[in-house]
Amino acid sequence: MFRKLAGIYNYLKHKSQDYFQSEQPQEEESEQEKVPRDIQKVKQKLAETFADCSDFVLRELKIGDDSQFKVILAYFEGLTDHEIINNGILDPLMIESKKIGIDRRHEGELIQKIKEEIINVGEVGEADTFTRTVEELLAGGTVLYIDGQGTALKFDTTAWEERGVEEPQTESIVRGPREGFVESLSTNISLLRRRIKNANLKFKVLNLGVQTNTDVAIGYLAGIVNEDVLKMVEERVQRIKIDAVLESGYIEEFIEDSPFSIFPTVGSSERPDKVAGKLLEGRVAILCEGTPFVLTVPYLFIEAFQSSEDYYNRPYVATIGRSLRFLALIITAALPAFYVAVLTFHQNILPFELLLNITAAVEGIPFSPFFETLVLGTAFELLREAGVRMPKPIGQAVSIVGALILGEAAVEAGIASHPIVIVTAVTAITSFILSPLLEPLIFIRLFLLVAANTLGFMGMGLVIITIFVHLVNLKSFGVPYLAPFSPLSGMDLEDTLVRFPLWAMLTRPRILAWREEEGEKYRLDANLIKKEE
Amino acid sequence: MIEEAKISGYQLGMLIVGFVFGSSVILNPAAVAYQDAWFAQLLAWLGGFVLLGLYVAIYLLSPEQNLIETLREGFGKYLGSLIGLFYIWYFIHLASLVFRDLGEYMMTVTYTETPLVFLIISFSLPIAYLVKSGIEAIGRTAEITIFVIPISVLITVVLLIPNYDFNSLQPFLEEGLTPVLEGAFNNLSFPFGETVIFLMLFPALNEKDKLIKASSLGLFVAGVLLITITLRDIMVLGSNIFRRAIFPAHLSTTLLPAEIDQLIAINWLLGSGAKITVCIYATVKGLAELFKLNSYKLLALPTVVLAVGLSLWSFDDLIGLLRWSSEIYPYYALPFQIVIPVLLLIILLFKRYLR
Amino acid sequence: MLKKKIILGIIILSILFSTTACWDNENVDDIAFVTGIGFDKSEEGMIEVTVQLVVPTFLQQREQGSDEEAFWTISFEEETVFGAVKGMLSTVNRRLFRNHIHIIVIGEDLAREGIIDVLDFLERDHEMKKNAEMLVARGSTAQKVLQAQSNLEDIPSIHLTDIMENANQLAKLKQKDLITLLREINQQGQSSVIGTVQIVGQDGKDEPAEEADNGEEALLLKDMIVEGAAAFKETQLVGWLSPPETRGYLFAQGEVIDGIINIDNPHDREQRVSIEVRSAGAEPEVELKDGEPRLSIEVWATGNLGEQQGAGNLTTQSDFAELAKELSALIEEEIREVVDLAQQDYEADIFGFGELMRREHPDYWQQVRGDWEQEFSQAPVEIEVQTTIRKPRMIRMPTRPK
Repeated sequence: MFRKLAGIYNYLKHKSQDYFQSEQPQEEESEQEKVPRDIQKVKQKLAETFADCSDFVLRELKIGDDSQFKVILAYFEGLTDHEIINNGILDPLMIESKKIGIDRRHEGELIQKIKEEIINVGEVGEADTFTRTVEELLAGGTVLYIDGQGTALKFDTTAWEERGVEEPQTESIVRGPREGFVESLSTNISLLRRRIKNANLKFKVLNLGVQTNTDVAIGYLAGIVNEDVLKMVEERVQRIKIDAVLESGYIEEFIEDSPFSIFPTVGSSERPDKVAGKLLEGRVAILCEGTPFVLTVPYLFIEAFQSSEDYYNRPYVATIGRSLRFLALIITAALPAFYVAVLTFHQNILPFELLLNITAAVEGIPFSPFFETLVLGTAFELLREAGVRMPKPIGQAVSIVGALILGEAAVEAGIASHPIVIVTAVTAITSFILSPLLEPLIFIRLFLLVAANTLGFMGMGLVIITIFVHLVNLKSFGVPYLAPFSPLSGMDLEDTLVRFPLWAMLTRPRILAWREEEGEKYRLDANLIKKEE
Repeated sequence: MIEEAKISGYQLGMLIVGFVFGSSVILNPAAVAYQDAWFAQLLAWLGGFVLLGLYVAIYLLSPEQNLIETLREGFGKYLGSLIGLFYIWYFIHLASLVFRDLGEYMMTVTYTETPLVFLIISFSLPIAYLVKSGIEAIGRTAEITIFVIPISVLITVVLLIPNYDFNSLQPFLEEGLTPVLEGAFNNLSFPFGETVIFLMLFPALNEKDKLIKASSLGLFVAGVLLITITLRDIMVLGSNIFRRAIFPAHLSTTLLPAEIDQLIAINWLLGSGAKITVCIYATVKGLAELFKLNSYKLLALPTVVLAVGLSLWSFDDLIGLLRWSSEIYPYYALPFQIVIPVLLLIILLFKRYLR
Repeated sequence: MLKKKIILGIIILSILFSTTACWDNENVDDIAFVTGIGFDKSEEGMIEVTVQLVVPTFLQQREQGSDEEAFWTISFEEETVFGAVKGMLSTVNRRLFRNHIHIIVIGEDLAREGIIDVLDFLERDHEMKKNAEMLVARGSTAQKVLQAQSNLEDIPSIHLTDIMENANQLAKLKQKDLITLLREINQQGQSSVIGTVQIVGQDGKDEPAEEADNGEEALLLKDMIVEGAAAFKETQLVGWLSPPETRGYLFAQGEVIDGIINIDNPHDREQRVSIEVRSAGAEPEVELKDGEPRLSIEVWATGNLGEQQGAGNLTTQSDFAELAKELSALIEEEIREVVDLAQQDYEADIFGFGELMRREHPDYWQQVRGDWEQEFSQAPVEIEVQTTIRKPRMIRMPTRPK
């Protein structure tokens, strides 16, 4: 089984590009047929293509002075704006076309005439291939097929129900903008454009998903972005050939550097200000139609500790926040394991009075600390899952019932001890501080727990070193995952455990976007820096 | 054999710190000199600088070449390869000794019921993974872990201040210079002379101009740490207990007011881990060089398994290990650490300048 | 390669899982915490080890008002200490965990025979805490001391340890922990002094002692007094130091941190004045004159006027000088007493002059190291004490009816 998996992985990593490149042309040739001249054929084809599509609307009209031209107007209900179609297309076609006098003589320039004199819709275009028109229809356009012409007209009538821009649910902050990305790609792009009003902000739009045809945009700031990273992102994104891209998570899994690692090497955010900040540091953003989660690469370990709020608050506050997050990482990863190691191996490390209290509390519990920790940890994960899945008001009730009542009852019943409830609760609370590392931390906690139960602190040390080795091996789009700690990059330490004042962060992250040229490497005005020097 | 991955000067320095600190801090080889052990260590440390200078000179005379290549250049293809083979044996044997030191230490002070095999295999797995990941990973792992050693040494030194008795350091040279020289000789071969192994690592350095600075700074820090620990132990335990204890550094950490000796033990783990990793890396690199293999990474796991096996079979008991490391080892290591490098240097100098 | 990696990972994990709860893994409720350990010589000449164990459950219940004692003592006789500690497992259901031993008590009989055999186990054992405090049970056995109940603390060993820390404020008890004792024994020509615990008023003055289960009277710690010291020659008990002698010894060692010394009121010889000695130091010195050792102890101390009884106002410079002189004389007398005791009665160098000699005159030391005790007991010892009185504390002059 592993051989098979590894095969697929290697294939995706190295060979897929050649494979799809050789395959693609044939596919395109067969489907790139022209729009049939005969309107009946068009009708037939459309009916075939959109069989059982109840929201597909096909109107046969006759236009011209004496209704001599047969046309077909096609669109999807729900994807399009009725008002535009009625007032901008149907109305003019049926009324105006009779007034301006189109007859047989104009057959050659019919399309031109319709486009220029009849239709009053903003965006009008031509499409020669049938496939193109189908794509247009699916994207919310309206297509006009005209009898006897090899070309169809397409109008942009896109309008579908959208969620308004709201405060993001996942990354709430106290100070900072309340806007979050929405499901619409164009809105998301505009949200970024509003923040970076710069012609260098580029978005390359691709179409992914063989079945879904989802629009995906690769955004970057030309002049700051590392060209190698950008090229790598483009290559990897273009290589994706799957049926569906329903969320940016689909893309994430295909472009990761180490698909088998438990650590995320692609970041995602719901906050436009955060993504804008990442773009300004030289990262590449991948926006996907249909999801508010925008991917940013390269993603480094340190980013789990950085919150966009850090840059809106004063540096001292931000620094305290960073330190607390590091502390939270240690607590949430190692506290249960530490507890087990102390209780089963290193009983001498606790002050004697504390040890006696804990022993008195543990006395009479039939299970080993390891088993207890494991069970309570699992119970907590179950509660968390339940809290997420349930409707919000009930979810809260579940958490309260689970945490408070069950925990207390378990202690009363002598199934669990008080210290372990405290340990599990502290671990659980701190685990939410580092939401990007939530999943890897579950694994690390488990590894450490098992190691602590086997060899105490030494086992924990060995597991931690193994994790370090793994982290050192990890790269995100060619950038070492642990940068700037390893390899040590002195200048980049300004934004790690300590957040320097903004005016003291002179250069852009060296590891992401290093430029030798004087003018390009500074965040601040280069002249100012020179003057200071 | 061209290797793409490189390590920085800082990483090399950290590796040297970890390597020298290594297992020599667990079993203090200078303890034979009683209260003058610090002086013996100081002499050994100075000697260590001389030896490191010798090794650096050899490398600078044959830049971009690792030890095996230099040996071949110096002694000819066949003799050089043979000596190279001996060196590889020395490296893997060293790794097995450190495995055994660490295993015995852990088994004596904390994990008294756990079988030695299990302990040693547990250490070996991360090391195999690390060596398999290549020299870059080794350097970078050292970069983010070794710094813990000086910090924890500092913590213990400060926390033990109430226990210090400066009189323990007197009388100076009570039994004359002989025990001091004996301690210094032991200590020179273990660990300072063992830095000969870095001749296998120097070619991986990417900042060539930092070679001398990085390696001498690494040795400096390691020596300061070792001497600090020796002074601390003598002052805390008194020269007699210091000499009689098998693991003096551990014994003095058990006297810490907060009983964190188990956490301090992570220190020894890191140092010994760095030492074993360097040894295994040098072994696999040398083997790959000797047998013209394309990649050394495949050899990592078999070599680790071999070292683990050696460590288990070399000695029957702790006393055997202690006797070996204090009485036989210095003479065993002499040709590898001093005789052959000096010969090699002379030959290289001859070839470079008198031709 | 990847397949191997994953399989290796699975093997590692399965090893880890299959070996969990093995070997050194020992749940905290499977071990018994030993807080105090005592050694006696049994009638058959074997070593009798007494341990004081904590019962954590009772400890918690006591906080809620239960009368159950939170500790338990058990004795076992064996040829070796280790044998006894292991032998107790036939009575105690949990392994004896020795890392939290606070106090080591040695019975007088054993101390007179020599404590070296006991110390070997304590030093060799990896679990034994090396900074546990040492006490000698004067006139009784370690077993009795460890069995005594405390009215203030749930665990008597902690009560005893706390008393030993009080010694700082009292200067009547020689505090010694295991590692220091081991160091001293290893030093050439040094004899040790260990604090003592003594049972007084055993028959109950205020309150009859509680009836224990076996019908014997259970002792209470309040019937005991922890002061004075036991002098050892090498590792054998040779005699006792009374509390004043202990204070003299502590002055000679420079270990007095806080102590009260009562001297005569210079204006009213019938009445007493108490001086609070706040800081003291000492410097023993050795020199060789014509190949003969000459020893000296220089002591300095500063104190405050702590209490005045009797007539007159002592808060004047001249009176302070007078008080200092009296204080010096008293301290010198105390030191002299203990020096005489050590030289003549015990012939044991408890001051560490030999070690000093070794450091400063190694050549001479090499000649006499065999019979240093002899040399020591004949060497003249000079004692010089300098004291100053600093402050009258809160008042300028005492309250007196006008």
